Amino acid sequence: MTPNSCLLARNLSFSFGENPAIHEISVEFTRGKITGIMGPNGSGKSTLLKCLSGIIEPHSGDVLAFGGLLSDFQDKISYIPQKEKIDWDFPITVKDLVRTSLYKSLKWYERFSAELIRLSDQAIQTMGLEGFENKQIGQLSGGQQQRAFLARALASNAEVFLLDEPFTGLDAKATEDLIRILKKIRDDGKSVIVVHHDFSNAALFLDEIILLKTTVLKFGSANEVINSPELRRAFGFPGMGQMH
Amino acid sequence: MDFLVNPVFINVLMGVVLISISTAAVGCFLYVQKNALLGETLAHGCLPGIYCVFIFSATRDLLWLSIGATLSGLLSSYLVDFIAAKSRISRDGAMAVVLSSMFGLGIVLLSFVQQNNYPNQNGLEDLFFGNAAAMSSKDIRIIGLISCGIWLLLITNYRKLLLILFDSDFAKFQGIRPRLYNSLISTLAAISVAIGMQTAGAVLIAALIITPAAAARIWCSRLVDMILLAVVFAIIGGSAGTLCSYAAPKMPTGPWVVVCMALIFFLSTLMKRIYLASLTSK
Repeated sequence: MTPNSCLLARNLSFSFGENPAIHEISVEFTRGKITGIMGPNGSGKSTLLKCLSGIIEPHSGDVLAFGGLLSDFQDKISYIPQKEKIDWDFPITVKDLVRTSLYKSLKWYERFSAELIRLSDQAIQTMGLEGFENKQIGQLSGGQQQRAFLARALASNAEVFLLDEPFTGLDAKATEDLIRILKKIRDDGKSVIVVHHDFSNAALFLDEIILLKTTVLKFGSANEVINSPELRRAFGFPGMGQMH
Repeated sequence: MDFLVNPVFINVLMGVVLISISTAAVGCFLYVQKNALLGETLAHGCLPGIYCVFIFSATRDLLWLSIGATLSGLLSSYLVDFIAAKSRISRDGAMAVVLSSMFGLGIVLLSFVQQNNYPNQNGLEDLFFGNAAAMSSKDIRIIGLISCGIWLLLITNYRKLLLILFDSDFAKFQGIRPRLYNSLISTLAAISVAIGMQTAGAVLIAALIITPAAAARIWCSRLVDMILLAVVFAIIGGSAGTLCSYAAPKMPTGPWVVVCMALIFFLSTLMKRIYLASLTSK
């Protein structure tokens, strides 16, 4: 693992029953970059992200973080799930959602310290959600909902942000805002790994792309992957490799 | 106001309120888990356990009957999970199969008890609709202790429960095991149902679990507020139901409590609509 990398996947494999979701994946994620995990439906993108976060244990292979075991650096990593995995009717406010990332540092009888409250308030402010703190999360727009989850990740002081299809259901304005926020997170020296579908805007914000179809078909800069023959092969569309 | 010094009334009131506040709290977790029908499944699933304990020990002691009811209720819960996981039957279909099967088994066991002239069997059939007036002071103490235990477990595990119910992937990411805490919710629900069977009975106990939670959810944006409001509704509904049954002594307490809680739910829904309409008209 080079000093410049944040996460290293080594020979990761995971299967659902007999069907392999990912197979023998080895890839090194560079610090301070936005890396996209892209590929057709069912190519194992979300499974790879969950293995990288430690949510699921790979059946073989392992993940290293910042040169050590993933479990030793779990605090440096944050995970933002797919939108459809969230119950938006759940009785939780933006403020409480952001503070869930701080639960780990508290015992059941401890209240939030002034420092923890400052951290969560700052994260809410950074994501432009002042005035929405006491709103139930279902009352937010799609873009605000994603920003609320990003605020939770920011409050935990994470160095690596793992996002599973964060652009799903966002309109053009909200997509643009989210891209700006992800770039700002990167410019602050943090690393972003994002499962993404849309090749039409990938080159706008992704520094690197991993093209996945159970195994890694191509890993390189965004333009390199978008213009590669492997992309056409992955999707089976002759013209896809020309998209920008 | 003579009821305030009537020891039977005070006994029933204490029992109903103690049961209502624990069922309401557990009900909030089931409600946000979108598992509201589990209360119904547990209630019907408790019956075989109660009658098995009676057949093997001939005891009517609430503690022993509650243990049997809890184990049998939990078996029903695991059967639902098993059928839903291992077959193509949906979860609500699995619940319908399990609750009706366990209810049928309960009736078979009760018939067995009645036909074989077991001693001390009078009142066992009350478990279908409840008979709060039959609660003894010892029963109240047992219910009080178990309710305290339920609340203690809910308070000490509140943050973990919230996380697994809201975002189980993030909970796993934080090192929390969703399966363990989902089992805790099912277990606490089974215990709440078991101690409430004598008051509301197998047919009505589910109302004590879900109605206060549903009435509170209408007003609250936070789980903790929802639980506290559900408890307030449960205390009001439980007390009002006990008072009604005292005023009409030939009618059982459990159904009155359920009717009062249903009224609270409808009033709560109506008030919310009026409140929202007043906001939009401003």
